[in-house]
Amino acid sequence: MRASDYIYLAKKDLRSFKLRSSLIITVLAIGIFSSTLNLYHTSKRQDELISSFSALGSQIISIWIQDEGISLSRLSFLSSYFPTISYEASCQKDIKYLRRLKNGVSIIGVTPSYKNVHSLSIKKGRFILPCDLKEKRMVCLVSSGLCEEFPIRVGEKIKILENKVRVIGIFKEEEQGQERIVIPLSTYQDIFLEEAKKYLQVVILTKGNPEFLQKEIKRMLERRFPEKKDRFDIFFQEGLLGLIKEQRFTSMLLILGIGLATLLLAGGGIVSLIMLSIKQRYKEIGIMRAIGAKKSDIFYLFLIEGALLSVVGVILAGGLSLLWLGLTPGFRLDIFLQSFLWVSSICLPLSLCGYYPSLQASRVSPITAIRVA
Amino acid sequence: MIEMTNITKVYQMGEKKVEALRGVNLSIKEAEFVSIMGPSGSGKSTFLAIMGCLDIPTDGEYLFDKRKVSLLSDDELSHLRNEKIGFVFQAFHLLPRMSSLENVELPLVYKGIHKDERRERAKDCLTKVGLGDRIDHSPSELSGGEQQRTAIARALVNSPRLILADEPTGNLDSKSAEEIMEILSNLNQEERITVVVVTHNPLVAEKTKKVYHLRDGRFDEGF
Ligand SMILES: Nc1ncnc2c1ncn2[C@@H]1O[C@H](COP(=O)(O)OP(=O)(O)OP(=O)(O)O)[C@@H](O)[C@H]1O
Ligand SMILES: [Mg+2]
Repeated sequence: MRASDYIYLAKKDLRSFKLRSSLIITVLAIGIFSSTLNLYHTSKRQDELISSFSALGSQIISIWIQDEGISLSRLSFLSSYFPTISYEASCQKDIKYLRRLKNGVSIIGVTPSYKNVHSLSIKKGRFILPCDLKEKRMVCLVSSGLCEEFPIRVGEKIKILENKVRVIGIFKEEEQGQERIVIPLSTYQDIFLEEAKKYLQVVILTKGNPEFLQKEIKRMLERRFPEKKDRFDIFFQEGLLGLIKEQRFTSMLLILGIGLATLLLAGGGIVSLIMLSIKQRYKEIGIMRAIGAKKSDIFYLFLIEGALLSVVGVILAGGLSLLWLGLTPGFRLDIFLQSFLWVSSICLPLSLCGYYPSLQASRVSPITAIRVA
Repeated sequence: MIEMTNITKVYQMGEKKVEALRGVNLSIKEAEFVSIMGPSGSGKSTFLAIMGCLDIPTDGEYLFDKRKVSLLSDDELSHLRNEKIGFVFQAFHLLPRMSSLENVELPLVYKGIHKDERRERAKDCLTKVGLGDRIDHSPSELSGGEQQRTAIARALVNSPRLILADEPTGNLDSKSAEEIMEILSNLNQEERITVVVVTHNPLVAEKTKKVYHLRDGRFDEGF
């Protein structure tokens, strides 16, 4: 039997069971239609969210490295990828100024780019320069909050543990209560030997899709330090990545749910349609077998009937949702196509729902032709 | 052409066994015109089904054109039915959703013949049975006699060697019945097709050249 004839016969059958066929197609089309709409809207929202992040400008990515072996110099390659990058480490220590003690102040070892990365504004004095770093100078900047508590002035000295450090500037705290002292990173590593061994933080200020950046940075680090894959963590500005991921997750759940429901409904429909038509057409199948149809001819005929139904349903839903969404403001064809393909591919197994009933049909014996009236 | 030796057919009905055929011997030569008569339940249809390769015997040997039918696969049997055997049934058994032309074409569809050739051959056959002007009618728009003639055209379309008819006139008035027997008789004489007709009706059996009587799953001796 020719392939085109299978389709010719299948079409003929489906047309003669108009009501049933159109019912199945409608259920299927509605399912695909609503899933496509759903996926389209969530994808679009997500896309807009991501592009709004990029539009928003730069974001802060921090990489925490917890390995002695990965030193500052070995990380400097990152600077060629991200111009605005700062390397830092911090700990809490007691400080003394004019015999007054303050417990647990954040001390941060920094590089000169810290100022740009964190958009620090200097109220008095100057920020740390490359030469401070190079010569491991005992200098520091204090935040404005601390400055008010102790009336520290530029040029005076404070004590961090037992080290006398000269104040070279005062900077504004971004938020109240974030009192801290910054010193050159090299000095920090000198003074706090133990702490410096624990971890180093790299902070990058950059633009771009956070998800992509995260992957990219991870890839770069893993290539450089293949044996230390678990020694670094990459963080984003609070909540940002999580938000995107969460959204993606819920939308996937939604689609899966709807897709599954559609699958069950339409699949069940197709199976029962073909089952019913086999019962009804028991005699016909017998006649077909008597005049020369092979088992496989019958099997494929029924399978193709089921497949045709799902193909028509998919096409119908595609046209319908394109029409519907095409009229919405800011229509995005690429997102539409992507969503539609996703949903259709979930519905693809539907065309196989006819497998079992088709097998049943092919088992009808040719003797039936002579036995039924 | 047909050699049947000691054919039996037993139907298992739960605990009970129904012996529909109890050792039938029959040989039919090329271009014979044969009828099989017998009371209801004597196993005529069962016998015809076996002869037409629609069913397999429980026991016995069946040679069709010197080939052992029991050794053929399901696909080979389909092929045999398609190419060598034409069926005519009491209830016509046309597919209701197809026109008479499409019905007649169907065996050629299974054979894989191209559409244009199919059309031509189906039309020829319908013309041969006198229905050349009814090709677009659906079965429900045809009289019983016309439906049976369409069924004969379908049986003919693949130029079979054997036509098997189970009560072909059972649902027809005597005039249509006569027409049908006329057509079968002509096919036998002019195209040398072997024809086997199962019937209750002595008038129908009269038209054939040889009559076999089946009773309780056996042929009566002496005929
Ligand atoms: N599938 C089956 N299962 C069990 N018994 C069957 C089956 N088919 C036929 N029989 C039995 O086999 C016997 C012969 O049946 P068959 O149909 O061959 O008779 P028939 O001579 O064609 O009768 P009729 O003239 O009424 O058509 C009957 O007793 C019937 O009940
Ligand atoms: Mg019968």
